[in-house]
Amino acid sequence: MRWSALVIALLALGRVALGHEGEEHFWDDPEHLREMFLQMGVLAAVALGAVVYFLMGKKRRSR
Amino acid sequence: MVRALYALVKLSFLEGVRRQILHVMVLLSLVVIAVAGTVTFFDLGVQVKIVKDTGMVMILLAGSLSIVFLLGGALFHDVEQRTVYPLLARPIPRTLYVVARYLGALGAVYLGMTIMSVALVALLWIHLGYLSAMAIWAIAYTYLEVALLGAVTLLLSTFLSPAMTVTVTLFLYLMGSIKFSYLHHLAERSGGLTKWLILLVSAPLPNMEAFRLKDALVHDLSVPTTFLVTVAVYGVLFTAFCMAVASWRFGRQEV
Repeated sequence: MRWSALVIALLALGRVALGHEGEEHFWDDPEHLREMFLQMGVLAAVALGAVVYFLMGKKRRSR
Repeated sequence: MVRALYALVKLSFLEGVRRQILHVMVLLSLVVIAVAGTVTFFDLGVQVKIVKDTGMVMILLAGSLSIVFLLGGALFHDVEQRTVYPLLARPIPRTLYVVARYLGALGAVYLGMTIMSVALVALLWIHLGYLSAMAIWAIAYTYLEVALLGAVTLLLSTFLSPAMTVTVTLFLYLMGSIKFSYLHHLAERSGGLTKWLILLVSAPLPNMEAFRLKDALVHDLSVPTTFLVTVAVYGVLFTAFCMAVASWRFGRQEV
């Protein structure tokens, strides 16, 4: 218990000490937002394409 | 339809909470969070940072591993053990079955994560004497990340065997976690074909890093609302897309 506490403490201290305080964070990086919007756009386009394809197939079958 | 969904979700949830992997992950995480909370070598500021850091890592680790192992073989085993046949013989759409399987497993994992989150928030309350709003945001976005990872796992499980699903999901999860912090820097430093290859491979990966507000919590930083809203919409959209493809794929499978 004491050893595991020591290991956790040292690891965590290292992480905190090497933390990103003062650095630029990913939420300030516009590249992150741009990439996420791009991915969302692609997903929406694929979903829309699939719906159109499904509806066209349904129309063809009903004829 | 709602009754069927409720019954299936309940079934999946009960199966999930009985799995040993969930018990082990929750207990292990609780022990680590508790130990981090009792470390008294440092002054209060550092100790609180240690509690926040360790707690958030353990909630994410336990939630991610649990959801991957719960959903990695869920559909496969249902078909292999033929437990899915009596259900599909009823007028239940396969999409409903897939969604219920997902929601049930996610509910079980969320239950475990909630226990860990309560422990973390209680420890922070003891140390700080107030409830940090960022802690709630960071935990909420961890829940969203786990939901997205679950949807990716379920999607891959409709194409691959359980062992492959778990392996590939964890690999993609790792890649998605270092997409911006490592892969993009690697692409920038590489030239020509290697750069485009790295960008091409990393482009469809979900940006898992965006859900991690741990640094903001540990260092008491604020995150812009625009970023929070975008990540939330991104998480929900990506999850819905993966679920739609998984449902479509399971609907076309021969069982």
